[in-house]
Amino acid sequence: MIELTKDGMTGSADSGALQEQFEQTHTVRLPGLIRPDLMRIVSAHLEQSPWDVKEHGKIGREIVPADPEAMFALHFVVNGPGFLELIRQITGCPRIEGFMGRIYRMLPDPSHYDSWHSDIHQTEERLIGMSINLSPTAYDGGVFRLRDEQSGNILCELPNTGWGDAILFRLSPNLRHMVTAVEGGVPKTAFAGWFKSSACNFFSMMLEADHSKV
Amino acid sequence: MTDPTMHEVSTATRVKISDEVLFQELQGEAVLLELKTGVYFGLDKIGTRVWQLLGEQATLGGVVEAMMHEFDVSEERCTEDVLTLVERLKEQGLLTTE
Repeated sequence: MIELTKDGMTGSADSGALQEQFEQTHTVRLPGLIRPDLMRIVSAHLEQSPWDVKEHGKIGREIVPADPEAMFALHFVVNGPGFLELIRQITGCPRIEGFMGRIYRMLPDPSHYDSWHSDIHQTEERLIGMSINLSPTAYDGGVFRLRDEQSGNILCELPNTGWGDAILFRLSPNLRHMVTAVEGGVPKTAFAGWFKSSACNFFSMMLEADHSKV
Repeated sequence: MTDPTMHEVSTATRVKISDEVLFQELQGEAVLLELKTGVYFGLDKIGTRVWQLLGEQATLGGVVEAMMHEFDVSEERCTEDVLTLVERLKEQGLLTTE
């Protein structure tokens, strides 16, 4: 099992089997990707943060944390060189240079929703999607669905309720995805975004922008 | 010649890395992220090895001994460099000492 920790990536994965699974289903689950001690740090910061409402046009509505610490931590670990190389192997996308995402929370409320979309962007080269579950308590609903755009057939349905679990999914003009409404009384919190190609090397950008040499 | 007594820390000092610090190794060098401030710190290859040993050794004396085993360096120079680096890391809130 692969784990992302405070000190980088540990463990190993059968990247060949994961690559085959991704090729066949366009998705792969990485259970327990974020180690629990790091998840506790992320959760503590999210609990302390105020949350703001964010609209995504007609696609969806959610709330996002105002404080940046949890975002810093998650971007830092998922952009590690070892993890990016593993994602390149699994997905067969050698052009992946980095990951950019956001933390969001969907409440079990009709005003919070998501709808079918592709995430394909006109100016950014988004290659692969990833969503990491940050909800400490299992929620109902909030299921990831992927469908073929032409036929409308559902290709897979993936609940992602394990704390720190991740799912990878292919982005393509021929595919659409969505997250179903959250039900019951527990919200869904996730870190989701895209592995991208050029101009998305997190550490290069970070080191150019703001750092100290000890 | 350097004088280890000029340091706030010694080879008997124990170090605890802050829970809010993340580490990522990039081609032998390291980047540290201090979450509370959002500030990033870079370590060269030697500093990176010291950082790794800080998490493994009980005291700074153990770090010095391990570094001397791995690198061609005198005990005096090694002790000075390790104590100086630890003090800088402590100033930046990346670790605490006892």
